Parts: sequence; structure tokens; C-alpha cells
Amino acid sequence: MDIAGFCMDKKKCDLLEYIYKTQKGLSSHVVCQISEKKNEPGWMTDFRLKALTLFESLPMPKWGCDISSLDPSDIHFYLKPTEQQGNSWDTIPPKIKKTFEKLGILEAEHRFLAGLATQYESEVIYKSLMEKWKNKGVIFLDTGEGLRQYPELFKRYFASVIPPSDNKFAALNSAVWSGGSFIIVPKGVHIDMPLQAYFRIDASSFGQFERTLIIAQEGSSIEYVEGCSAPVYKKNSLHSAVVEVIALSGSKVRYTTIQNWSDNIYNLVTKRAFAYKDAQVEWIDGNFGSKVTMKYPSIVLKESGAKAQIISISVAKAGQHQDAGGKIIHEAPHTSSNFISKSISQDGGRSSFRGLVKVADGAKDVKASMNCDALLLDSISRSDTYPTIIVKEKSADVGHEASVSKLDDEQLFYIQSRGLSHQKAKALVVNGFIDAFVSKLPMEYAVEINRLIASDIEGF
Amino acid sequence: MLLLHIKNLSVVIEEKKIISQLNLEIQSSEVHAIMGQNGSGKSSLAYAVMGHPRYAIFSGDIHFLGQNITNMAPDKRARQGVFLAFQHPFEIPGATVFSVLKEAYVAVTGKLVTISSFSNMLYEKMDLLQIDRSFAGRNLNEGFSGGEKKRVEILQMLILKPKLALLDEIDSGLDVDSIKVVANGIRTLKAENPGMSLLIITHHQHILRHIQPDVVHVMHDGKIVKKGDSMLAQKIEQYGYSGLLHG
Amino acid sequence: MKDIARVKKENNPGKRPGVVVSALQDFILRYPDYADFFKKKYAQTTTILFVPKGMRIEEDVAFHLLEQKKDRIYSRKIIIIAEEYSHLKTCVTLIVETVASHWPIESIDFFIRTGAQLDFLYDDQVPLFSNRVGERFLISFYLESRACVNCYVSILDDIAIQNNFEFFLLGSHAKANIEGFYLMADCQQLQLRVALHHEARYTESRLAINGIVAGNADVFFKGAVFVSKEAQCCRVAQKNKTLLVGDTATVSSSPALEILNNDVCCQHGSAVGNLDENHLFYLQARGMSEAQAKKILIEGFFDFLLKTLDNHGLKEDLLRRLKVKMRQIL
Repeated sequence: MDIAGFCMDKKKCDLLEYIYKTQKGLSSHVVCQISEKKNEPGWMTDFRLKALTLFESLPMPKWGCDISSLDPSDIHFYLKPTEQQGNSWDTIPPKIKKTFEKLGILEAEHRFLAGLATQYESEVIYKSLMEKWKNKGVIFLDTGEGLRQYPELFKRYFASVIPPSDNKFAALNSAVWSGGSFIIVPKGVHIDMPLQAYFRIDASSFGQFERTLIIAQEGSSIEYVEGCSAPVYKKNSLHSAVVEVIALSGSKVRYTTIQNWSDNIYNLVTKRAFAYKDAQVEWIDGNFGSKVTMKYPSIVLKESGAKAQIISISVAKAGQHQDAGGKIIHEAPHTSSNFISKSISQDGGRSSFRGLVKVADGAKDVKASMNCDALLLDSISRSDTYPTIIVKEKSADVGHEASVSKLDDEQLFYIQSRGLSHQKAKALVVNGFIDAFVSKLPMEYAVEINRLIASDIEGF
Repeated sequence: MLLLHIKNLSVVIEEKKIISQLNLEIQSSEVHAIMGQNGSGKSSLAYAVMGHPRYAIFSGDIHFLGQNITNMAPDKRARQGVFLAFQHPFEIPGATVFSVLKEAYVAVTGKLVTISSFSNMLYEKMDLLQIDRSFAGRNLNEGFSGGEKKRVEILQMLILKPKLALLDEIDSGLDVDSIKVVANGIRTLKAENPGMSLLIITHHQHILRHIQPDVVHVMHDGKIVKKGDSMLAQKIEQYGYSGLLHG
Repeated sequence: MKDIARVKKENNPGKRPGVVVSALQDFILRYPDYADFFKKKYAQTTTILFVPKGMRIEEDVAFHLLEQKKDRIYSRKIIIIAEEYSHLKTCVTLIVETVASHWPIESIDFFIRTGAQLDFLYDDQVPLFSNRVGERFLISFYLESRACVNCYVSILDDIAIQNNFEFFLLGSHAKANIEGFYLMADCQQLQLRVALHHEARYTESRLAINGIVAGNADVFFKGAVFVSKEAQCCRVAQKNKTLLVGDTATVSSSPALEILNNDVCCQHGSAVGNLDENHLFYLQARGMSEAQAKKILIEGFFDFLLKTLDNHGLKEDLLRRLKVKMRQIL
């Protein structure tokens, strides 16, 4: 999967004829069209319509990034390149295959991945599950398929973690969601390779609203990786996903995101996990692209013994504003959490960290720590840190530390005195700075990230 | 006289059993050594005997001078005559060496003492341990080097004159000269109080060369797996723990 | 309007120097250079307290009132100017007593001019702010180059008033050092906001505010630091530590940083918790009871303050009130 320095401009990209396209702009008519085309049950259509009303009534957030130039009426909502999903490589339309080949999907498929769900223009058209996982009862489907095949399970968990009323963009997603992954890992099953999703925004003025729901049943474990890339277009594009994770007792979920959207994308995502007894949830979140990102993956520790970890990194370059962070809420006793954020700002970019650690009354014996470090590579960039800790329980032990600095001249001098150029020395130090994040990634991603950072710094 | 009697003790911390069915008897005047690899449970045993709140007694008891101290608060145990020299002494900002020691002295011995007589006593001990007198006015352990912290632990022992002193890795991080000074301090106290017993926790021989143990126990995986005299300590030096346990 | 005379220290060795001017309009008449100085709009009736160039007032001072009629003071705002290279040591209680306003004071603005130094103790036991819950007040400090402020904040009696402090480091090498503590018990609510603006190079700020929250008290602390593009080579350190001993108390701490310049060294930290059980155990293992051990550790919490408040006349009184309150809550 080549995510480093991948950039397509309009000329190089294949323009596709789409089989189905809704009007630009949002209305209940559009929402009904979407639901109808997907043959959804009545409750889902109602759900979407209610969410639409909420979206229209909720105000735009006044804090965070500047999203004033976003116009929800100027976006296509649903595009379906092919009528049915394919289960093998042969059923995919040739034009799309070509794009995938360019992006190296086939290669990735052969590189020890457990399964591949690829979302292309709001629809999952290709996925393959290795037989091993299928036989163990692992369910890995496009979210729409999940609704069709497992309606009761779906209804029980869908929107239980993030209701449409959560925020304006969760409401938008709830109204027009399409695609995403629906994953259920049965009791006691451990998936020892990362499951991967891949999607990209292709057409101009297109909004992407995938909805992912992951349920890890008791004692199971799963690692899910999403990495994405998008071509460059002039008009602003909106990516507003919702990810819900339910980690039942004793389960382990690690959700890794590497986001490298092109610099016209507004990336406004709501991600939240519920961790039950002795469960462990990790969000590994890397923000490298987009014009504007507002993303605060959260974990609610609902029962005793649950553990949370968030490792988040943001790199903001010229014209970018990465506003990321997370929330960890301790609702139960004997829970612990660890939150690490590293951000890098260069060439006038702005990176902001917004973190919340909350310990509710009655959540005894909680240990939580939040660490946030920011590196400013030049004097025109900006870094903000907005941490909040709220503690209502006296037995808690909660701490937060942050630092903002530039590259250490002494460190650079030492490395240079060993023969490396100034630029190489910088790249070395910066890669060391984000090591906490990189060390959690599957190997091929780790290599890509290091290359990405190095190329940004060395100016290639 | 039986000073310390540990019967079938099992200790749990964070749901992990770190001491399992341990039995130990220490008579007064005796010097015992507990040796073992890192993670064998030696320091945990010392913490459990002193009464650290996180070390939960799963089963068994601890008796000191015939009294069951298993559920006794740590300060009460100190007043009974138990002393623990910590492996990593904690920094107490805002409280000087002088003030803490004076309060401890009054609490443990029950004797009221004037500032001047306590000063004399303190300085005498500080001189013996080659601790600069200025340390008396410094916040306890704040900014002290590893070696300084250990010497101050022994200083506290000299002031409080316990019946049983548990010395947790007293020699770790100390240079050769410091070990000599510390050992000298311990021996001086023992000479003044022959009835005092010592439980020296260590994983190598250094301190044992200066203070010869009467009994040596080897711990492994939370249990005492071997018991012998000071020759056992020398065997460990020669063959190592794996050699001893599997050889 | 009567003419205002300046008291010279040399002529009045027995009296404490300092100048009080009853109103802004009178002050400008006397010191026309200051006509354009005040960029913010102030009512003409704002009260000004003035420390002339080079004057050193090293003990807590009651500003000497000259030609001052109490019934002339009706402003809610006070301005205090410490001119170049002067040194002023004062506290909010004395300022308020001096001004003797009929109304509760809303704001105090300090202008610390080049090279001047201010040592200021804010003690919330003042008749400053009536018992009106929810009232806000603001104390602002404007520092020119090489100016320095040491601000000590003590909050023991607060009931739901917003305490706001703002520091503007406008000239190079300006320094602000803020240390404080709060001790909140049943039914008390504290809102404390401290903002630091670094607008020039080589400026430094240090904030260390600790507190103990007991009973069902509610504490909200917000620290904000802004470092502008022009403020290269500045140093920022912010720390807020709270000991939570109340069963139903709440603590909320948000220290924020906005940095627009890379040549800085900024750190902050905040922590909420209970007494470290390892520290408690260590002292108990030396024979001290749990209560004794707690007392030692808690007193250590305020150690820094007791040491730095050395020459303030109100230190004894503050210590006494602190001890009384600690006995109450522990």
C-alpha cells in the first residue's frame, strides 16, 4: 500500500461513469432515495430521516478548525460504481481495477493481510476474506451488507455508541451513511493479522460518509487498520465518518488509522469505543493529510478492569490544520488509561491537541495519564494544546504533561558530527519523536510513515 | 526468643501471587540473609512484613514477638520495633531530615526529648555514617544521590534502634567505600543492641562480606527454595542462581 | 479640584511613600505625559495609585493618602503604575483599604514599566468583593521590558466568584512568576483563570498553583498561555497540582497553550490525585500515625509558598488562617 507521497491530480485520475448519482445537496428526498436504493428496512429509513432533522437543527461548531467555507448543499452524496459487490478480483470493473493496481492493492492483498474491504466511492465493491477467518465465524462485511444479513445484531448495536444527536456531523453521517465495515469477532477468536479497509475519495465535490461498526465479543481480539489516500481537486470535499467500537468483556481491539487525504478535504470524524469488563481498546491515530481534520477518538471505560490507550500523531504542513486528540472517560472503578499525543507543525501548518480525561464519581482507584508533546519545526507554524482533566473521585490518580519545543540543536549537532547531513539529522530526530506511534503500526505502514516524514523534512 | 514468625504466608498484589506459602523464623540476635534473582519476591516479602497497603495477605500470618501483626498498620509495627530500610527511599518535600526523625523518634520510643539533646544524638550518628551535618536541614531525600539516600536510611535505623531491621538491597548503587561505612554503622548498632536481628535482602554478596549471616535463604518464584548458612551465599557467588537451583 | 502634591521619601522618613491620585483626570493634569499612555478606555473617575521612578517600597505599604477625601472615590476600577525601575511590594487588602471605595472593586490594572518590579499578594479575604455569588473580577498586569512581577495567590474563603488574572508581557525580558494555592472545603466553589500573553522576546513566565479540595467543593482551574510570533526565545512553565480529599468534590483543570513561534521552551503539567500511598507508608514505617504522616505530606505541599513569601508582612496571618483551615478539612 503506497501511501507515501501519493498524489494524483485531475488529469492523471481515471474519470469514471457512475451508475447512480443523487442530486447535489441534501434533502429528505435524497435521503429516501439512498435508503430505497439500498433496500433498507423501514426503521433504517426512519432513522436516517430523524438524523437529517437533527443535522439541520444542530449548529456548526464554533470551536476548532475553520470550516466556514464548507457548504453541505454542494456535495454529491451517493455514488455506486457497480451494481453488485464482487467477491473476487475478476468481478471488478476494469477501470477500477486499474486504479487499484496503481494504488498497489493487489500487492497488499498478497502481503499477509487477513482480508480486504475496499470502499470506492461510497460502496464496498471488493472484499475477500481468507477462508481461515470465515470458518471461525468472523464477520467482515460492508456495513450495508451487515444490515441485510444480520438485521437483529445490527439493530442492537448500531448507533448505540454514537447516537445521531452527538454532534452535527454524526447526524449528517447518520442520515446519509453508506459503506464502511461491519465486523463481528466471535467469542474467544483471536485474529492474528490486521484486518484492513481502504477507501478513497475520487470525484470532486464528493462527500464520504462511511459508517463502521466493530463488535469484539467476549475474549476475542482484533486489529483493524485503515489507511487512505485521495487525489487533489479544487472544490472542497467532505469526509465525515462515524466509527463505533464495542469491546465486550475480556476482548482487545486495536483500531489504527493513517490518514493522508489530499489538502482539499475536510475530515470531520466521530469515533468512539465502549470498553467493558477487562477489555482493552487502543486507538492508534495518524493524521498526515487533509485541509482540516477534526477528530477526537474516544473510549468510555464502562466496567471494572477496562483499559484504554490512545496514541495520536498529527503532522500539519502548509495550509493544514490538524485538530486532533481524544477523550477518555472512566465510568468504572479499577480502570486505567494512557494517552500519548505527538504533533509536528511545519511550513506554516497548525496542529492542535484537544484532550479530555474524566473520572466519574464512584470510579475508584483509577490511574490515568495524558502526555502531549509538540514539535515546531520553524517559526511560522503553530501549535496549540488544550487538555482538560475532570476528576470527581478522590482515589483517582490523574496526571497530564505537555511540552512544546523546537528541534534540539545539541542533538542535531551530535548526529551531524557523525557524518549525517543537517536534513538527515532532522529526519532522524523527528522519526524518533514519533516512535511511540510508529512502533504500534504493522510493519509496512511503519516503513511508509518513516518515508513520509523524511520526505516532508528533506523536501523531496 | 522468637522474634519474627511467618507462617504459610501467601501475598497477592494486583491479582498476582508474589509470595506463596512462605515460612520463616527469626530468633533475636540472628542475622538472616534472603537472596534471589530479581522478581523472586524478596522485596515484596519485606514490604509485606512492614505492612504496605497494596500487598494483600491472601493466607497465613505474621507474628512479631508473639503478637499477630498480620493486620496491623505500618506505624504500629514500627512502634513494635520493626524497621525497613527502603530500596528506593521516597522524597518528602517540605519535611526536613531533622524534623521527620525527631517525630519518628518520639513516636517509636515514646520518649520526649529536647531539640538540643536530639540534635546531639543525630549529629553523632551522622558523623559516624559520614553524612554531612547540613543534611539535617534538607528536605528528606530530596535531591539526594542514591548513596546518600541509603546512608540516611541507616541513619534512621540508628536513631530508632529497632528490634528487627529489614534491609532491602542496602548495598545496591553504593560504591565500595560507602558499603564499608554503611556496614560499620550497622555493626555499631548491633554491638550496642546485641538482641537486634537483621534480615538482609540482597541478590549479591557485597554486604554479606561485611556482615556475616547466620542463616541464608534463597527465594525463587515467591517461595523459599533453599536454606543454609553463610556457605550458601558463597556457593551462589560461584555457581549463580541457575546453577544452584538446577545443578 | 485640589492640587495633588507628591511626597518625597527623603523629606518624610517616618511616613510611607507612594502617591495616590484620586482620579484619572487629575493624574493626567499633573502628569500630562501619561495622557496617551492608557490605550484601554478608562472612566475619568478611575482611581490611580502611582509609584514614581526609582522609588523602592520594600515592605507592604499602605499608600499614603494625600488630600484625599473618601467620598471622592467612586470608581470600580483601580490603576496602579510602577514607574521605571521602581519596586513595589503590596497586597490587594492594602490597596482596597487605601482606596476605600463604596462599591466592590471590579478590576485592578497594574502597569509595570521598564525595569520595575512588583511583588503582589492576592489574598481572597478582602472586603473587595461582596458576598455576591458569581461576581467576576479581573486583575491585569502589563509589563514593559525587563519588568518583573511576582504574584502570590491565596484562596481560602472563596464562594463562587470568578477570579481572573491576566498577564501581558509586552517588552523583552519581562518576567512573570505566579505561585499560589487554594484550600477549598464544603460548599465552596472556585473558578480560577490565569492567562499569560507572551508578546515579546526573551520573556519568561512560571505558574505553579496547588490546592487541596475537600468536602463537596468544586474547583475549576483554567490556565492559558499565548506565545505570539514575535516572542522568540521565551520560556513557559505551568503546573497545577490538586490533592483531592473530599468524597464528593470535583476538580477540573485545563491548562492550555497556543504557541505561534518555534523558538520556545514551554512545558505544562497538571495532576489530580490523593496523597501518594508510598509516601504515607514510608512515614508510617518510621512510626508516625496515619494522621501525622498525612499532615507532614500536606504541609509539604505548601512548602514552596511558605518559603517564598518570606518578607510579606501578611505571611503570619496567612499561615495562621491556612493552619486553621487545614485542621478543618483534615
